[in-house]
Amino acid sequence: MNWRGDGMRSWLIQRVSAIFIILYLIYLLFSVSGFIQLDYQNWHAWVSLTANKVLIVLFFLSLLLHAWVGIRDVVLDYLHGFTTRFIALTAIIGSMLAMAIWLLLIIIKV
Amino acid sequence: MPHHKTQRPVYLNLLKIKLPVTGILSILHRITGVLMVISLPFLVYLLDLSLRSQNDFKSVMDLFMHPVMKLLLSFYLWFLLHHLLAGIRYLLLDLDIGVEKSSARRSAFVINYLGLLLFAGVLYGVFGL
Repeated sequence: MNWRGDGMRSWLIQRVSAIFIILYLIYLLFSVSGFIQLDYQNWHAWVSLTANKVLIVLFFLSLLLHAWVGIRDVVLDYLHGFTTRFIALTAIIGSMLAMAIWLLLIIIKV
Repeated sequence: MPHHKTQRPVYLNLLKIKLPVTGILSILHRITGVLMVISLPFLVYLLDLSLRSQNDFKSVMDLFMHPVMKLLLSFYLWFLLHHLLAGIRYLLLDLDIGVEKSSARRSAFVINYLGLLLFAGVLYGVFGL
């Protein structure tokens, strides 16, 4: 079974997500360092902005895609046999989907 | 499988394997990546807490002030910087920048030590060691 899928696509996902993650981290750093004070009001107000909510969700999805491509490579390098790989990769994808939903719920609530 | 292959000595003493400097960069890129993935649920939890209420935000800040947490965060900064710089290096290698053996070794050396230097600097700044 071809676990890696399309290698070219994975390669591209890893690079595009990496660049987006870097840009978002720079934006976050600039935003937070621009706060008059790092307190609940300023932090909550910043996250409440629709543009920032969209960016946070996009950032987290990029992070999960980036993590998935990376972790899958690690699993395929060190774990062997169909059953072992299937269990490991299913557990990882399951936790990642759970985290994505969790983050969405957090951001929607704000 | 040819017979002679099975006759080879298997010698995988990890302490005796000397990785080249680019290999050290590469394995650290891997290890830091895996560790940061493992940290994700904790980070999402802290984000959740920080947005719930004034008091919850304060408890997150207090947690960051704890000495053990400060040490963990110092390690985290090191992991993040190493992963980031090694990643940017890979992006540049994809663009055929720094591919020659000498420059590839030099950039790997610099990044490995920059990470350590930052870690030492953060430890000094945070704990005054």
